[in-house]
Amino acid sequence: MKTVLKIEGLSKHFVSRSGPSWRRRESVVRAVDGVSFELGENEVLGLVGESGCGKSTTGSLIVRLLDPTSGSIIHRGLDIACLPETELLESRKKIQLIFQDPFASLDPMMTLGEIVAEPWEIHGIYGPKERRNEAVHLLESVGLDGELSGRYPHELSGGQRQRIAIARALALDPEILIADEPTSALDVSVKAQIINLLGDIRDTRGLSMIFISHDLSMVRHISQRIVVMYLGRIMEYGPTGEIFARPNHPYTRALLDAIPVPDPMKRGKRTIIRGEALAPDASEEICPFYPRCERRGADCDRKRPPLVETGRGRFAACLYPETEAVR
Amino acid sequence: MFTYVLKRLVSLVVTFFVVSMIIFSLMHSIPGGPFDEDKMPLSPAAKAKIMAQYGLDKPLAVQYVRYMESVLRFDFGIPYQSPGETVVALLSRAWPPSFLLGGLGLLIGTPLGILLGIAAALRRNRPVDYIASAVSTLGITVPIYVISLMLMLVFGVWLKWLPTNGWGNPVSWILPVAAYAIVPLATFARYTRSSFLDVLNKPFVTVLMAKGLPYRTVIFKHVLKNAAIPMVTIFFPIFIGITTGSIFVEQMFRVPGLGSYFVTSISKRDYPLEMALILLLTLMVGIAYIVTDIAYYYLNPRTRIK
Amino acid sequence: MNDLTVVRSPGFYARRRFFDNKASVFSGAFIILLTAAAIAAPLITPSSYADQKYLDEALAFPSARHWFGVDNVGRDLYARIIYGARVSLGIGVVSALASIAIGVPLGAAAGFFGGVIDWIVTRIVEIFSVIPPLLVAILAASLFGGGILNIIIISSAFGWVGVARLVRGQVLTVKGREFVQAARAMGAGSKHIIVRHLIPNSISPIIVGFVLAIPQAMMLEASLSFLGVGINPPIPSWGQMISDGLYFMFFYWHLPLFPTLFLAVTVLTTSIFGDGLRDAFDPTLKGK
Ligand SMILES: Nc1ncnc2c1ncn2[C@@H]1O[C@H](COP(=O)(O)OP(=O)(O)OP(=O)(O)O)[C@@H](O)[C@H]1O
Ligand SMILES: [Mg+2]
Repeated sequence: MKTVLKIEGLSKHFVSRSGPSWRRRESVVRAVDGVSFELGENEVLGLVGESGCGKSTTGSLIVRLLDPTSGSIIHRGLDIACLPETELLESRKKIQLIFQDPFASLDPMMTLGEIVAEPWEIHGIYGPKERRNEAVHLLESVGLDGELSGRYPHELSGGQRQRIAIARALALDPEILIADEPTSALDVSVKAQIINLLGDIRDTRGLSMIFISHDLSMVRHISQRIVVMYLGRIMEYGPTGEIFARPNHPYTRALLDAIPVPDPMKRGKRTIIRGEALAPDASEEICPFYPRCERRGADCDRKRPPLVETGRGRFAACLYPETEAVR
Repeated sequence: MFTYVLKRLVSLVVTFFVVSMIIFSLMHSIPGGPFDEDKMPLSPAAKAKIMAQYGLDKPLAVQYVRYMESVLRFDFGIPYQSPGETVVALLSRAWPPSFLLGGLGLLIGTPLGILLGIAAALRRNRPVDYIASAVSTLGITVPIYVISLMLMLVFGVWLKWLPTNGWGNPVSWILPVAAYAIVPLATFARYTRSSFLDVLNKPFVTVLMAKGLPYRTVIFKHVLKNAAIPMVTIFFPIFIGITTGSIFVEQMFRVPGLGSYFVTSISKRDYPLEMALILLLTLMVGIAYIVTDIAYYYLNPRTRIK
Repeated sequence: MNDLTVVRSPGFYARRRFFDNKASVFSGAFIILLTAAAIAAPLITPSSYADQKYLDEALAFPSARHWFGVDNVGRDLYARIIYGARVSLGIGVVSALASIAIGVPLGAAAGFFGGVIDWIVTRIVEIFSVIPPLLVAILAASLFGGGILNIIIISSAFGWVGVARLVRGQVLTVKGREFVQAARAMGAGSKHIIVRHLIPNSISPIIVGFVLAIPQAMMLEASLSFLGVGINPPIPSWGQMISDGLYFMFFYWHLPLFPTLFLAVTVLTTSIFGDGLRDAFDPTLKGK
């Protein structure tokens, strides 16, 4: 599989200041902490983890809405992590982001036609008239009525709005689509429609996608590989089927066990996440999951577990992984 | 906290000097001195003599330094409009009426405004609420001289119940005090109402009521205490309103106070008096600002705990 | 669309909130009427504002011939009041426009670029919110002289502050909204974001700031004219007419009464109208 995007050691630390000027306190949140993964051509990579683990931050870093603290993002042989804004235009055409909340990501003062044509406007593609015609085609390509182009976002349902956001992301014919929880603000009934639309887009356009979600069953349905994050770090990374069948990391197991199973009789022994989460100002040389971990060993609070290969194409950051040998 | 107060005081002193410098240079660089031909026909020689006598012929910087030196010795010079006394003597004659009337207005208007605001909050969308909102809108938007004039017309001219000017008889204080009182009355009524409604909607009030505490206790002890904190911040605009208002009120009701001297000092280009009044005002406004700020800081539990 | 609920624009709700507010609708009607009268002044008044046509009737009380009476130098008071509306509204509107012209770019720049620009603008706004505008205005008018132009300069020097504060706040919230992030992720530059997103989404606070700046400027003009450092006679100003009328108050109360009523009602209605607009556009701002 050809690699279209390579992320290495990507970190984002937020420094927040609090208190009055004469008693300033600083605290560092390591929202993304040394994350590495690759995205293959025409692949859907699932990025999962509980709320606050740094999924959106990772997405924002890749499109450079945020500047990384360290690490590299290789796209087409270029490290876009440290390019200045002015030289980012090309990669910004090729990597598009779809936001979680379709109510907030569309400008209420613009018509739908203007919204989907905005990327062309920004990059100076097409004249005003062509833009209007192309916008209608674009709307139709995501299953909307071309007539809608004169309407405003508030006249649409949530699902329709998310289609608009997807259409906008497709306008520049990108290579990579980053979808940040594109369905979490939607009704159950339209979730599947949007997921199917994204699947179709991948098939017909041959693009790659990073699909961010906290819903493991959704990710399982759409992605070939998944990245599991916890408190800014990658816990486990590998092919979807294998991870679901045999998780290597205790955190992944806990996550999988938390998925509701329709038939109670089929429910096996469940690992339940217990205990306090790690304090945000804890040391770096630590496994962030150790206070809650069932399998923790003596040095889990003293050593940072590296992301190591635990099988073919499988990686886990655990000192005591659940590999074949251990089981 | 101590360093904070100190910082504020230092910035007040700096402001004071900056203001004095700006005003001083502005007043002395604008054409049209107090001894201009059209006001007082003087021969050039006589004019030069008077200018020298008042030090108006020296360079501006020298005049300023000299002036500030004497200010620090509490000597503001001699007012051009009444050369028989010093500025300090004139001011010490003028401040009691101003402070008396303004203070009375504040003392009467504040409790009335708070009570009206509470009544409006407790009886929402009833007549009291409408009256309160009418009174506060009127008092906040309409200039004080309009209110003064209405009071004069109604009670002085048409009903002939009250005198509209004079200073000797306390009966003649009633109308100016009423005009001043409108400022805190209107502002407090509006602010108390919204601040009270905010607190009334908090869950802890529901809990207290549910615990069976008497209604009165809840309202006057718990709700009022919480609503009072943000209300401290409006003391400053009210102070400004009354200070500014005194210029108009004192002129209309012919009160021999600081406000009316402010107007005459400006129209007569009486530099020494004008400078003294502006410096006094800067100081008063600055102190009122700091006091409001510190009071808020102390009353607000969120900042106090730290 | 397959759902049955009628979708309505935010504008629809804003309009409905505005028209539900009887006081502001009434105020709007009064302002329209007064503006029309001010524009049509020569057509609806018996004489011009400076004509001393009625010297033999000086100080006459209101009558069918002179609706508001005649002043001490034989001028029709009604004519002076209507022409005074021109001065008052004119100064109010022009100062408000000037306040917008200064306040919108400064507030937008402060909110959008942040950093040093924001620091400077917020410091200036802070200073302006501590100094009492009227006192400084009196001083400035007495030093530099009154007159229409100077009054407009003075009142916009204070009026822009409120506009800048409103616009800065709005730009800060809009800037953080996801559609702006989306535009940035697509490669949009500052110019595109300001022109296509920030300004269109800040229209309502700008309108509100404009309307609320009008009564402030009118009040400032009237106050300065009242103290004799404002509009130069014989141009009529309500503030000056009130102060002139004070001398005659005891016997000819109509002289101060009518300008007072007009000033009070005009300032009151423009404020109520502005508040009504603000509440209609953004109900969460109510009472702030
Ligand atoms: N601008 C910021 N300043 C400071 N901290 C931030 C900022 N943005 C995010 N964070 C912190 O970084 C961490 C990761 O946030 P992020 O939004 O990436 O999480 P997420 O995985 O997308 O969560 P969710 O599922 O809730 O969307 C959180 O702890 C958050 O508080
Ligand atoms: Mg997120």
